[in-house]
Amino acid sequence: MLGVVFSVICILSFVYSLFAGTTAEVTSALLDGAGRAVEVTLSLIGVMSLWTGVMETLREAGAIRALSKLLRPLTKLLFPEAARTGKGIDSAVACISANLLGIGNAATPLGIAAISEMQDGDPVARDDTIMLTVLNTASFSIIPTTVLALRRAAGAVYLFELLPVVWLTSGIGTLCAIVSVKLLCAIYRGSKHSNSRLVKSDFERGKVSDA
Amino acid sequence: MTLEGFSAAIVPAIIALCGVLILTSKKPLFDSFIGGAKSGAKTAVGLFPTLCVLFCAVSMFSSCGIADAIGCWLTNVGIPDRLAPFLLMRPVSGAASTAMLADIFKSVGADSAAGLAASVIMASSDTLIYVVSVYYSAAGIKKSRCTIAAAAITMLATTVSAIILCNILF
Repeated sequence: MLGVVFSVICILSFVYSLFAGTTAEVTSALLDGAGRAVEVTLSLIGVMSLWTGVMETLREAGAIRALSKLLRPLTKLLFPEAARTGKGIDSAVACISANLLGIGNAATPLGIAAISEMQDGDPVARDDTIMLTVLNTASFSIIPTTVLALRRAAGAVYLFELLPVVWLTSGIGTLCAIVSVKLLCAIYRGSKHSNSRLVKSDFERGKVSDA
Repeated sequence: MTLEGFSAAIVPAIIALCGVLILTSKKPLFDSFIGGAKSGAKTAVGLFPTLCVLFCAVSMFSSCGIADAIGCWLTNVGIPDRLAPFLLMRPVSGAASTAMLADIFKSVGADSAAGLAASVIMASSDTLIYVVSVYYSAAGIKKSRCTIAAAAITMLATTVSAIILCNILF
């Protein structure tokens, strides 16, 4: 699926740039992009080392366990399988807390840790994994510092007045994320089941005709 | 202390808390810190190939001008002026959408319909493609199932409710 997204973006951009006459810009931006990936990876090494270190310390000290026990009713609803096995639930709780506190760069390493534990080597995304990923794309933060700083720099009149709107919008987004993941996963599983039934009945028909 | 001052103090407070825990605990917590950091560094290095491909594709998209073209067309459907290119860029590139947000502030003002809606959308969403590809490549997930569909629906709901709420409330 991601391969499809990448391909569509690249092909669309190339074809459009042929018509718009922007191929030279696209070429230089492409090479800049490859260079920027190096910079982002380098800074990611620092940030990820820091936050996985912090996470490991807090986990060993038992602080995360206390937090996830407190949030157990919520996590049981959102991540039923992980809540049952206990795999990745601590990191998931830490990841969502980091998002709420507005530490976006901590949410990425914590999310990765949670998902790696939830998947346990399984190459097919599990329901809990999808839930955490989609929740993170609708990142709910209480104080959006970057946007506030940009607005202040631009001399905006509405600064903190905007926060309730942000919370309401994030709430709607989060609710929508939960509902759509639960619904789509159920539909996906439903269609998988009917597929396997189809295959089975085909197989049986084949056996009958063989006989 | 202001709200922003409080949120700026969160990160150093967490690190200081780790310091306190390391000093007071009987367990070798500093070793856990170093061990955790080591595994984090390894994961980050392993992400480079994905990030390289991702950033190349994204910079092709943001430099070819297609977002502006689709944006012009979307403005006719009732989306505030200058907002549409930003909407298209938000799920694709964090850096490009931040730049476009600043550009909207400069050209039509931070308190215009587009400026307000774009601020709310920026604050209540994340870069969809970046999050999904980084998470899934780090965890070795090949089949993403309904992830992108659910994330796209969420993005759409956030966008629509931000535009409507800003219209009603301001």
